[in-house]
Amino acid sequence: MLVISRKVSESIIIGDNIEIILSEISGDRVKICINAPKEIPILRKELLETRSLNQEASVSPQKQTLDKLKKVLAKKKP
Amino acid sequence: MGTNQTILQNTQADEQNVIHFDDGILGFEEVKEYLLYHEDEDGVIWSLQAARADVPSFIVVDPYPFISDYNAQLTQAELAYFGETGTENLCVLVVAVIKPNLKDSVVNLKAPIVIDVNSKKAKQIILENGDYPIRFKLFADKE
Repeated sequence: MLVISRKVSESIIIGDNIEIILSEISGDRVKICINAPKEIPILRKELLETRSLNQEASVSPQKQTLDKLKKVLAKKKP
Repeated sequence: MGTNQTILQNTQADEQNVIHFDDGILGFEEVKEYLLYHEDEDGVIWSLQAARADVPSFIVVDPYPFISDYNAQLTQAELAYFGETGTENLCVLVVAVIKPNLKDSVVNLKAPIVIDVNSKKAKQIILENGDYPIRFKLFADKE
């Protein structure tokens, strides 16, 4: 992992044609501008991870697993 | 957002609620319509089932029994999607991966499914507030 420190308006170039510009810092948020060819997908990481979890979640659990879950939750009731 | 329980409990067990996702669900963008079924009597476990096909189908869970202070904040733009200005009609359910070994089961607190109980519009919203994990263990320190 490469760690680089940048000030606002400074850039990083990846490969031949990807540029990342630190555009603005405000509180705990950083605005990043990305120049890259259209074919290269750019996504927030949590979007990819959510998509991946959704795909895992779309496989229905077996009935006995679901029954086990319901039993455990029933036991938790005050 | 307050607890879902009053909103969810007002949904009859045998009533079919067709819920409309304008953008589908991440990874399943083509499927826009779902039905929501009770899986248990307490309104904690639900099935979010594609309305016109067998798949996809998700187990979704009321997060508040597990995290009583779960706070899913929506931006103005996100509220506008539902045609709302406040959160009174919105209910929050989280996507669950339930494993045979229950201790490995996780829910996505970072990207809840938000449903407007009046308009039946829904969206999976990636929260900007808080530091909620995408894989939160439901039974971390329990049996």
